[in-house]
Amino acid sequence: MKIVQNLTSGMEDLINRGLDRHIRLAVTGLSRAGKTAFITSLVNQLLHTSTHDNLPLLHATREGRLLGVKRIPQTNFCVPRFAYDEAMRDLSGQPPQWPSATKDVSEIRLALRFKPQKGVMKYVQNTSTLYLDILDYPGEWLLDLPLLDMDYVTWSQKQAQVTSQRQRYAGTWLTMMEDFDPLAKVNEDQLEAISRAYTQYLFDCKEKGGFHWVQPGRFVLPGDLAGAPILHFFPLINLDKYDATALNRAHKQSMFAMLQRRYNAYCKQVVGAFYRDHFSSFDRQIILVDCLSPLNKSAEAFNDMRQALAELMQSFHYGSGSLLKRLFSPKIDKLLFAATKADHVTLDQHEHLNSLLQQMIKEAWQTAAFEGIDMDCTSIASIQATQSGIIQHKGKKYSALKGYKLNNDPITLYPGEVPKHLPEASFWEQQGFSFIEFSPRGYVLDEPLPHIRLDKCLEFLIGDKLA
Amino acid sequence: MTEPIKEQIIFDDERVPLSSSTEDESLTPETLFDEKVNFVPMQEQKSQEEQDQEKALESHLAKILAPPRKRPFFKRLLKGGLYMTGVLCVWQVAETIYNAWLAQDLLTIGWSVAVLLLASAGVSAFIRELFILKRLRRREKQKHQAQKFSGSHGVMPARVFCQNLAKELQMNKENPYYDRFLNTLTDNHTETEVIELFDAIVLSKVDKQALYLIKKQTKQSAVMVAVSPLAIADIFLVAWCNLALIQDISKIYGVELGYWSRLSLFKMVLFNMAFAGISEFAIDTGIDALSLDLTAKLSSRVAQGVGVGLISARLGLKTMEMLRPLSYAKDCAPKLADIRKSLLSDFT
Repeated sequence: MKIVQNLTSGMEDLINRGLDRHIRLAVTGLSRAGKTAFITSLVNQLLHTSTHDNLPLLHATREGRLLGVKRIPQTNFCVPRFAYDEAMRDLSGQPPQWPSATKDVSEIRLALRFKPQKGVMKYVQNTSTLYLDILDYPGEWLLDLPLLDMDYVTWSQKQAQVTSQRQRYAGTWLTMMEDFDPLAKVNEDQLEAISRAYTQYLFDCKEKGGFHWVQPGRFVLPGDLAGAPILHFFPLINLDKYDATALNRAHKQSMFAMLQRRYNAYCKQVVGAFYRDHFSSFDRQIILVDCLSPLNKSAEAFNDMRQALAELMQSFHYGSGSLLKRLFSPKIDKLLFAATKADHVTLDQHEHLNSLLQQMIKEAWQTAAFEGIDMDCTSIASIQATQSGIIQHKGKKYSALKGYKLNNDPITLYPGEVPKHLPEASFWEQQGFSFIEFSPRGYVLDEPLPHIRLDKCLEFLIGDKLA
Repeated sequence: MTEPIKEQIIFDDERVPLSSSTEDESLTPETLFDEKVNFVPMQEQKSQEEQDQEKALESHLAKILAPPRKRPFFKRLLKGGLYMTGVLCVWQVAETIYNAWLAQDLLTIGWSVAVLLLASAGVSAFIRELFILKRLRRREKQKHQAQKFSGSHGVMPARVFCQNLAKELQMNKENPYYDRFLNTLTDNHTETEVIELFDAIVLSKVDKQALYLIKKQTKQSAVMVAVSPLAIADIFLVAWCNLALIQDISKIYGVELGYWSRLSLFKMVLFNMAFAGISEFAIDTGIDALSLDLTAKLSSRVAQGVGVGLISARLGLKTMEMLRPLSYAKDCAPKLADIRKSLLSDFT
């Protein structure tokens, strides 16, 4: 009897090792889309599954098959751990705060122990383990991925196009560009000064204009590269003023050659390494989109975000592959688009938020649809910050939200309607939108974080692996 | 955009507490349900013209497909005659009693009262039958309603729908599954999600009960066929088993079967019986012809029992599908193969 027992436990070990049930989940989103909040909440919800009934729409938890979830040390030792505990500390502080913005790449690995329901595994072993790797990184860096397909000249042309719509923030930089001669001998100080002005322009675009598509991403969030000469370059925006052959024949010590070299080095050493280390092997992807903040700004901000998302999609591999392909060149075979901050609008507006999201991701959707992968669209709130309900106001009933503003003042409001489609530009002049941000209240210690539809996301993303 | 987009309103002047949107509403659930359920999101997207065209087509098709209608004049005559007969009956009875009262004819009064009692019993049975039929028809309607919720994003109607279903299934808040359903439900769940949760948390447990019953009954009828020495006894035993099964399943799903509904299910039972008889005949003759020995005969009887048991199971599953208030979720319908497996493992 004992021999049989030993044999089965040995078998189980072998199969676990051999099969490597393992998913790498790409949590993708531009900066401020809520990646960190999403990952924090996801980890928090999963850790609570054994004691709470907090994910009813995830089949495995609903049927009681998910036995428990544990954080385990990651296999990649070079990447920092995802700051889950720090994020939870922020959320449970007095007053509670959103987890601080991500400054660097970090990773977390979860082991999900479950009872398999289908397949051969059901007969071979009682429980099975799924390893889930999640990566967090600054959304700004993501925008660099399209650079890998462009050379310096193409990139400059593209930036010239983009800048023409953002003239009002580019004043200083453009005047400095006036007396810049790309064919002159290298002048480090001038390069640094102009790239500084360019960085300021990028910051202004982000903060004042609400634009997301700012390249290169390390300029606004340099991480450990702050001040390094590899960041001292900028697009040659007035390219049409120069003769292409003259530029091609420019001296090795010319400004143009230096810019080109730095651009190439940036692409290869910074972006390429980032891509190779973290982005080339995902199985599932969720793209988080904050549809509300560009609405607060302008129609251009909305279209800019749409453009950025469409560009981003080019950097991922999609397609459903065979088992062999999955082992050697993994591709994303399930893709979920999620409009975050669904708790910032009233319940009846969730449908509108969904259709607005669909408009936002139309091009991105078309890119992925070509590969024939499984896709869906939903609206979520990773950490629900408001309480929704109905209120009597001047004799009429309104659906309303109750929450705390970022400065911790309590507020009860009807946040306004979310348009089903993007309104015309004139709408912002007459009325505009003002969706306010809420501070994360409602977290009770030792309880799972309140959420909206996170379980549905999980079911879509990893549900089939838990079957 | 036809309608203007509503602006933000801040309610800070009055500190009225928020009422939860599920608890709110002085409206009675029934009316609310009827009001809101009529909207079908898919139709909104179609243009008015398309809708009109479709309607015209549909009505045309309905006309063609509809059974030939009785002539309205004939119908009216029949109706009038029936009403009149009813009124005359009442009048007759009243007059007879009145006259008998005047003539102090106690015997006539006694008879009249007796007949009256019998008649009212008949009428009440008739009305009850109508009522039950209506309920069964409502079950069919509920399935369609639940499908309409799919994809819609409203908040209220699905909750009321599920509450009503729970009431019909005779569940109160003490029922652990219904309680779990109520507890997991938040304001943020959409219609589709509410239905999905009800299906998975509450109805799946009811399904389990029904499946258990089917398995048990299947085994019984299989054993009976395998053991019973007479073909005719088989037929009656299996028929009895199946009728009991239908009755039990309907009870589990909170539907009492009426005369007509039972009749339609009974058709299937008859088919089942016929199969039991024929297979019996076929095997008997086959065995006679091949003159197999006893063990072979026994095993063939077992096989026959399993076959009949499976038909019982199929009948049970069909009944389940008919009586279930929601259609099965994708890939969740119980399969005959599962029952076959358990049946075979019991027999071998």
